[in-house]
Amino acid sequence: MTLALIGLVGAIAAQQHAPQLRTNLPSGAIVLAENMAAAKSLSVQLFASSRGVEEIPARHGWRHLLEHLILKGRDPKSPLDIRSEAKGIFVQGRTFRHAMQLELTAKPEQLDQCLDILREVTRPLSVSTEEIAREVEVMREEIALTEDSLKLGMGAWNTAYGRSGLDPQGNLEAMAKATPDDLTNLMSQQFTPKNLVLVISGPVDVNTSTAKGAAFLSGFHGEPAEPMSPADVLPGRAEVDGAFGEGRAIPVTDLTEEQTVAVLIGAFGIAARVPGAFVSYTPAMKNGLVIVGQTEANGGVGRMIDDFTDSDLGQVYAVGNNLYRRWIASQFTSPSGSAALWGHMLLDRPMGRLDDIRAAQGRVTFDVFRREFGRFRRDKAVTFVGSGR
Amino acid sequence: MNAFLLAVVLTGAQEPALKIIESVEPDAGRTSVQAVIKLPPMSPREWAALLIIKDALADGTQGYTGYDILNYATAAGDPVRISLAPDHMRIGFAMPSSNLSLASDILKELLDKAYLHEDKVKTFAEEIPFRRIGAWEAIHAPWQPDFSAFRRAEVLSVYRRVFQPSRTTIAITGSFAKGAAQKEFEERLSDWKPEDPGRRRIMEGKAKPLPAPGGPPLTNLKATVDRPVGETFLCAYALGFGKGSAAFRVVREQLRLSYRQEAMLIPGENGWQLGLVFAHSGAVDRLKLVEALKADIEAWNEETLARAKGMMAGTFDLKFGALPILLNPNGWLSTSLEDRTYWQAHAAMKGGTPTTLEALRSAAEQTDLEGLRAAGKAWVEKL
Repeated sequence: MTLALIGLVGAIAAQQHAPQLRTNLPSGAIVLAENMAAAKSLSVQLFASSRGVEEIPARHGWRHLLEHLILKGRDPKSPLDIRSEAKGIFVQGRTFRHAMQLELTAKPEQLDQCLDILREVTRPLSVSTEEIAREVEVMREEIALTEDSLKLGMGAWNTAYGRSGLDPQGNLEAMAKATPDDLTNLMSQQFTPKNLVLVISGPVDVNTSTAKGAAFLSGFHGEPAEPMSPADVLPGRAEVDGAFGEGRAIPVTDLTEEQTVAVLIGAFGIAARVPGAFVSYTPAMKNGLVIVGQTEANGGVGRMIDDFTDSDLGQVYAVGNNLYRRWIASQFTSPSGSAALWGHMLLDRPMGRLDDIRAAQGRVTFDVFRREFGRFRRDKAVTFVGSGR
Repeated sequence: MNAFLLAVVLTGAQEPALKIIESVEPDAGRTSVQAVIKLPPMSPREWAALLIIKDALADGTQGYTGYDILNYATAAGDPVRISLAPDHMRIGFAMPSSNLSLASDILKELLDKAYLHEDKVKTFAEEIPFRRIGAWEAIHAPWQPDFSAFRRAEVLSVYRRVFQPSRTTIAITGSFAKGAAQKEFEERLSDWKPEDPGRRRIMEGKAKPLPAPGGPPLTNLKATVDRPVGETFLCAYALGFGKGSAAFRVVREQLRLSYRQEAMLIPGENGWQLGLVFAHSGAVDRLKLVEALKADIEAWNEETLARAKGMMAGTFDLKFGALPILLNPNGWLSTSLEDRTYWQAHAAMKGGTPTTLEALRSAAEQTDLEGLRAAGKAWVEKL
């Protein structure tokens, strides 16, 4: 059977990118406004870097606890999320190893209301010991629901990054020991101008949005604490308790590096061959991991990787490339995806540009891919496995 | 503006067979092809055969290798998505809009000329019984397949019995000229006349439960709601979507049973069902829970209605989260091109349902407080 294939691969490569204005404020904070004229929604995302407040055993999970508490808002009689839902504004918080992300999804005309919500949640925290204890109980339920893929990823992080790899979800005992003062101090250290990136994406005027964003960021003061130096990265094997599945994890940097792009292409290409496989990666994180694995079985992915022939690699490259291009394109076509990608990236690379990401993608030829794919092999990667016990 | 066209292809002069639905969306950027195959009653061994078909179908056909199919599909979308539901099997993929002939040809091959290789069948028959699917998937998967001493002949027999034009509905959405997809798929599938395997079924075998999923147990409060589907759909938002929902108030805050609780619309044998699923580490006093939910529903007011409609608008217009609809155990529906097309195919298969997700939304928009509470009560009274 012969069918024309011309034009298939390039079909999604020609994307339009939205006009942007990035402003690096004198305080060290960054505001990026992006006009996605055709979008129907607005995404406002505040990123607070973990620089200076990285996870350590004594305060393992305090940032996650802080995220829960600040998103309740400051009016005990009227929870913030219920108030905001009533206005059609949706608030979500996420705690990553390298940052806290506060994301608001709203109608295009609701920028002022979104910034008011961010003002409310970033006001200095006033919380009682009882409220902390109550929230730790809620988090106990949350942690009990942790999916196997996440547990496996935590095992891979601990093996790859050692003391720097502690998960952001946290330890309930450490969280229960946090006092109101501890959390107030943590917040003041994390929400300093040099740790903050605000991204506004949607059908907005970039100049007006930048001015409003800069006014919001002018309310923050102080200097971040000295950051912790990252640990050396080591390959190895992680046996993960209480999870079922297996896979490989590869240390990477951000999307401006061809090594990262090549590894992501490999991960997408591998996952496309395995029913129910997952890929995880925190976009643009400087010291990150690309994880590919499965949770329906606990054998097969690693063996498949080690047995790949050159012909297999050619196929993994072609399919992985398709999926990587589509993933990047999808990030840049929704306000939420684009704001998230830029927020993560600007935390570690304040002068980052879209062209850097494009250029890295362009440099990953098959030869580069084949070279970098070697990092998936057992002796170079972190292998993780969980028997479900 | 979208053009919408439904055609019933007549094979012979007797009864309607294959259904093809075309929708033109000028800005789609790609073409989504979604085929839904209505399932007949299935025995444990026939479920086993279908689970193998689900994994092996895209692994190669007479005209395409598994790599060809994967490469073509990922050039415009995801790998071919094949999922199994209690009432249907779904095959979905995307292609560039300029290449309808490739799209129709690949679909024809999957429906009619899949290899279902001996070695793949053997491998999957050995692997699948030991796979641990997630708890949220397992709770919606009713099958209890029997894989013991499985033979390829059984897979081929089920493939021929189930993959019939009369059971199949195909929806195609994309940026093509009006009528182009309809014509292309009609022509390509006009000679799809699979050999009749007769009515012989594979009835031997015993139902075997799937491996228990890990994590805390889930409770699924599910009941058929004898109300218009628009009301039932909106009720899912009021009942279990977001932090202003009844489930959040009752299950999480009042009874402190669970961190995560979600309501959803699920197709059932006798109409649409409403399900409320939550994970819990402790025991559940079902009577107490149902009474608390009844009291909450009784107190629903205009604010509840406005919030439910606001949340629905958020999912449709702002793309905030997925829709509270589960057509198959593999995940929630979204408003993506693929899922909108999938809904169309499923709705045409099922009949008596809004033909598009937008029509479902419009029906839900018409709901007043009385209708919302009636749907909630119709659900909770059956628990």
